Amino acid sequence: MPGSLSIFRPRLNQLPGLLLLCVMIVLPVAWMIGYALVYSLGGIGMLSRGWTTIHWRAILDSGELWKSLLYSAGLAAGISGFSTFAAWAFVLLAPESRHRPSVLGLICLPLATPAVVMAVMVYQILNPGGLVARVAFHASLIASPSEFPVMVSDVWAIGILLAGILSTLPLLTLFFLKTWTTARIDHYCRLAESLGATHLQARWKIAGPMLLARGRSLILLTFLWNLGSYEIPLLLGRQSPQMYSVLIQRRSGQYNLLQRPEAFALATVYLTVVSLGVGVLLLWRRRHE
Amino acid sequence: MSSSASKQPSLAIRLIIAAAAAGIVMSYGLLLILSLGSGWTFPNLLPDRMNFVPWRAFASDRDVLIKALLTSTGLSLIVGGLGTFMGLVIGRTVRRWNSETVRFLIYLPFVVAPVIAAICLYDLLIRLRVAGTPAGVIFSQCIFATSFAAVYFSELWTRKTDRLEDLVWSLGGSTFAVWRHVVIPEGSGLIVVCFLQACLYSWLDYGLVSVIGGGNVQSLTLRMFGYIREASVNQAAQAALILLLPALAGSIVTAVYYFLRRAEDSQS
Repeated sequence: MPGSLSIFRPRLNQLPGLLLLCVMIVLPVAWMIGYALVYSLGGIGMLSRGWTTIHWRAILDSGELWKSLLYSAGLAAGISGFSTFAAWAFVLLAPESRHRPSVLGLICLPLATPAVVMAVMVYQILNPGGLVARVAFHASLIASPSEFPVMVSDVWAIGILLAGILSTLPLLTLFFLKTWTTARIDHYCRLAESLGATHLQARWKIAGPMLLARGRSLILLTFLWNLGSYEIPLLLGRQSPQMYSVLIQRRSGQYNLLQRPEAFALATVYLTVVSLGVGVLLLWRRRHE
Repeated sequence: MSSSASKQPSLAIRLIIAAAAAGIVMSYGLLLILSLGSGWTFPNLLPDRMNFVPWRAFASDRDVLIKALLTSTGLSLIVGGLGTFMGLVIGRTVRRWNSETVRFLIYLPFVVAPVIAAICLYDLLIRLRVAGTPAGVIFSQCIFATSFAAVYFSELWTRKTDRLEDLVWSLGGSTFAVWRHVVIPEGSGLIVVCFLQACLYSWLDYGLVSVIGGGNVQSLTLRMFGYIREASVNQAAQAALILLLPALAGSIVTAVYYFLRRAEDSQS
């Protein structure tokens, strides 16, 4: 490790880095967590009447916390899970596509597309007056937009799932394709085949688990990013249940200041969940070394 | 490897690739076509009038879009520069220090949803008297850009650079010498890629700029959501395209850089 080489290095050199770390990262992060917690307990806030747990009980009793958290976690797990499976299956079936510029180009285009643009695109295609509905109209499948099945702001969150998958899938596919080269999976597969495994067995028992083991940090990261996703559900989600970021934003909103502490209680829960996620990520990272 | 590269993919795989290509052409084509005309009443597949109104309005300086474009460009260049520099300094310290607590801290903003962070930070920025100003937006975006850059520079630095740096130190070089002979020449590619990504982060940010800017900082993303709320399909498509182009250019540069680096690695 680099640390072991640095005995003779003057400590003074780390001072600017340390200072910047404190000002730009440690203080804002500490403020975020501390402020959310204290505000939710009534310690601060314009309308606060002293310390209380009433806001925490309010979000716990109304069931809103669990509903939104489970809804967001479910959607994030669905997006990450499906994307992982699809990218993994594609790379296992066609690892040679990592040499094809056309495939890499196809991956790079959606990868470079920001979530906001993805949401707008999915909306224009799937909404009842959108492209698919128009094509269905010309094909005489529907007579008016109202007959088109609702796919944005719908019960099953089809719009959110699609936009999320379109943003996540290219990233994971690219990662698995790159891992195929960097982890020298071809080499291990050939080794297994020379020891008597069939082609399929080598792919399924050697390449498959290797890809997943190396990709688990990124899979967890995509889950955490999707958990906090904001622009996509803002455009494609419905009023209830709402994704977590949207719920917090609306709660902290300008209309009812009395509900503000509840928004910070929700934010505290979110920050705790994300901190746990980062903890797991670093644990995996350390084990990997 | 050469045998698998020359093998043609199966029909199913080729069908999947063709379907993906068709979907991508259709979606991006739709945005382009919508941005070229005005109106889009229901059964029409093309805009009602193909009169290039959004782009002609864009060329005339009356349009608010050009102001949003300049705001976003300014913000992203400043945030990209500051974030990359601070992340570089922090990332190098973190790499030397090798503490799990510090790693945890630099990773956290990397995954926290910007809009939730913005809500929690708003009061701090009011106290610093920068809420609702470009300075406040730059500060909050810099937290995230710095975190990203710090993670990036603490992970992607090579062993070779560490040893070179140790060499300069042990020969009695100053901090300046280390930066001049090791950090800048060895990390220039990494620095360019990180700068582009940090710029893009700011360019595409909606959560932070909408909460902390409080409507006073009209960035391109904010304008685009405005168009969507006003239900002006054509202008929203145009704004989406303008947002997309630098992102595309940035990722092409990144891809080319990694491709070249891989070619270099395989040669050495």
